[in-house]
Amino acid sequence: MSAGAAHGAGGVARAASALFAADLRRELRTGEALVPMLMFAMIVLVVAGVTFNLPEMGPDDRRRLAPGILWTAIAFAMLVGQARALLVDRDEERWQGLLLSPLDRTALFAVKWLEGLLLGLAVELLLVPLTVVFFDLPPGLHWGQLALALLLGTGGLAALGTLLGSLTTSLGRGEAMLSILVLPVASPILIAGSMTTAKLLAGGTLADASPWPAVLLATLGLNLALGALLFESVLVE
Amino acid sequence: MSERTSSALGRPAAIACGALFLAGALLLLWGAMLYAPTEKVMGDVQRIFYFHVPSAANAMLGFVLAGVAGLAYLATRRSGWDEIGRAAVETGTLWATIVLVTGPIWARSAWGTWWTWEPRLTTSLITWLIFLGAMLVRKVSHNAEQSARLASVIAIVGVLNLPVVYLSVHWWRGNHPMIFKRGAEGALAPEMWTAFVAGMIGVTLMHVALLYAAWRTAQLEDAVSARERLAEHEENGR
Amino acid sequence: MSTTMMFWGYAAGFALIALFVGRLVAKNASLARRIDALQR
Repeated sequence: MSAGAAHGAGGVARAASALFAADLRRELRTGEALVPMLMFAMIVLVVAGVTFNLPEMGPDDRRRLAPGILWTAIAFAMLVGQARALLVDRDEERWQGLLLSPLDRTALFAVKWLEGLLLGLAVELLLVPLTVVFFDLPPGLHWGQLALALLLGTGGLAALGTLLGSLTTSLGRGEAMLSILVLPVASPILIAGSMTTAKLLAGGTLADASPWPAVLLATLGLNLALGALLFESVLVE
Repeated sequence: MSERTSSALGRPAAIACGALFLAGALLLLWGAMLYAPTEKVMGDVQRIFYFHVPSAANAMLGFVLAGVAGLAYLATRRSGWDEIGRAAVETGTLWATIVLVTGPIWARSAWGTWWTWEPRLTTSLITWLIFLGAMLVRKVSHNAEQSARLASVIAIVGVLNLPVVYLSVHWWRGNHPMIFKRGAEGALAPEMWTAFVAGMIGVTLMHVALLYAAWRTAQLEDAVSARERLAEHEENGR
Repeated sequence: MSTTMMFWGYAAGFALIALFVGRLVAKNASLARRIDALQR
């Protein structure tokens, strides 16, 4: 906190980008968060495909299922990835270093949130085309608007995952505890995300999905603010 | 350090709590069973309304209190706020559980189904899960300070997300059936309103009595653990 | 039917409250025992 102030805004930005670069290099080298996330997301799709007996379904029913299954896969992949990433920090006692760095807690939260968001978006890069193929969705979607909806929803999930993931990590708990804490609070994101995506996957626009895109934006803002304000309280050890 | 001993409540306070609880329960039962007329379509089962809806309101009251206490705890780090927060999460969860049990019984009789994804029932379920999470965090915490700090964070995140949960579930399911719908058939008869107000006051009185007892118990719990730590410390010192 | 279900609704609700009170009483009793142990 005070150390950060001494270094000024430039110091914080440098320390933040250094942390981000180090984490990114590490992830690119090991794939320790992204690989399990991708596997998990695909497994959710396949499990849904066989349990809901997709081949027996008409195109209309499949289209109705797709958004919910997509968001289930996103949510669980995020939980797996963020729990993993934060546990790695903790196991290697990187926290001690992070807490002593000139980053204030809000900047630390911002970096970890951004990392969670990017991991989620990377998963979606594979997951969304796969969903379109598996569920036989019509072509000609508004891809830019779909990307925006995914960005808002994933950002909200990442904010909750970063705050509550650090909390469960300080308790020495993993994905199961994180899911229990995140998913009920994330229910507006999941509702708004699948309602918005349902319209978009049917070829509609964000405007057609009103008020759900606004709910996504509001939950993103709220959970970012909560994370930035409360991150300090889950870090102290 | 507080010097409270022997009992959380003490005899007079226990009697006062019991009396307050009893008064609340009698007010609720009088309004619901004796004063309110039998509803024409649903029959007697509609009387669950006078218990169900005030329970939902009191669950909210408990959770909002827990959120406020959580904020105050993080700002001041005084265990007094945590004791209030702990008691409020417990009573809030009690009332939410009552909503979740009475709701399906009413739904089964009135609409022929145990569970409707009816907005108030759905939000109660989600809220209940959020605050069970806060209680779980306390259970697995390593010490009192961590337990208070982390449970406060969960309570704040939970409470500030509640309005969004509430709104999105309502928009998701369309609006709430009957009771508060404006217009002819859904409106409450004047006697029903009186019984409803009696239920609100009655359940709130019961809540205050339980909250006070739970709060004093939490205080005593902290005082006893502090004494035990002190005694252990002295023993090690010798 | 309707009356029976009403009865079960109230019975279940008050049973939950009784459970809560019972837990509170038990907690108080155990705290009283801990205090006794401390004073000895």
